[in-house]
Amino acid sequence: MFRPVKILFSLGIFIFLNLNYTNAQVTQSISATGHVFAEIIPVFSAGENSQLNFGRFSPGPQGGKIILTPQSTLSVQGSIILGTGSHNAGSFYVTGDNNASYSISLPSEPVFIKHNASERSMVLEDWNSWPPPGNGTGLLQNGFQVVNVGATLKIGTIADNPVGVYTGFYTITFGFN
Amino acid sequence: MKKIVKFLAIATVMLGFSSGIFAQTTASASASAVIIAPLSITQSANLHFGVIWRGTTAGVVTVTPANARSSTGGVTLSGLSPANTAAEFTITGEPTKAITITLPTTDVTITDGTNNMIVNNFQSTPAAGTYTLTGASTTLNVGADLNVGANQPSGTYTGTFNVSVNYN
Repeated sequence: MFRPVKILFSLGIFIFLNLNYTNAQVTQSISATGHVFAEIIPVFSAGENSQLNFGRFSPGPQGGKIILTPQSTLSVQGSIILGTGSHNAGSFYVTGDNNASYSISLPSEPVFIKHNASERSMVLEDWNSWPPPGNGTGLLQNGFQVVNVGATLKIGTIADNPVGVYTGFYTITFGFN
Repeated sequence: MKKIVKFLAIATVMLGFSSGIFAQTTASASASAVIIAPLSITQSANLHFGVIWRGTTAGVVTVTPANARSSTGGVTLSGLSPANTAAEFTITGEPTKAITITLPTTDVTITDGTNNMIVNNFQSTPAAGTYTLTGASTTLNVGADLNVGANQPSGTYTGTFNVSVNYN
């Protein structure tokens, strides 16, 4: 008489376990953690404050060179005679993150500026700047910096470079890493 | 008298499980339990929004599960390294079994330690919801929106999010 009771009791346990297993299956949830990254960099801008201006001068009989430093100091070679009027180095205003460094690249090829009434031209070469050109030479203290640019202007004789206004443009590149 | 009491007790138990007597017959058939492979999910690639030029107005950067990146508002996408990547997860489980994929439905905050940004609108391929496993391993790609504030301070922002799977 005891044996049937034992069998039925075992069956009851089986049903219970089976229900429990079903519930466990439904609630099984596996998670994985994903990682998110983003890198924000500042708006980096540069604009021309003032144009590179060699002022007024006369070539003289042989012509020569005018050297304009980034500090706006002017010196001449050859028969150049400086006239009255202002001159100044090129000036750029660079903005970005506080204390960010950047690179400065100046024209590597000669730049021609052209006479306003003819095809005559003069050549700008030996570009220089302050801060000097190179990687990481610029530093944005308080988020900005003024970069001054100078160059050497080669001038021919009065026949090569008649009286008038000579203009042109050049490209300076500021690189942000 | 003791013997009679025992008998009555047994009879009561038998009545209580009277239907179980018949179930015992079918129970032997259902003893063939179905064994299925356990579900697992692991991350194999990070969600990276890449390098972004901040703006003076807020903007949104979206990386799709196919790793297409776009922006709206006052931000500009930069081609500088590191490049953007959609997140990638590997799901393993029993082929032909249906599972549910769950992505974050609330905002996830990422931080550079001081400043925060919000990541939301998570999307995936295959999409969140019910999905039937086709093989032993399934690749899940996840993208989302990154909300960049106006003048968002520059820096590298990091955070985490959870993706869950379970058998239906």
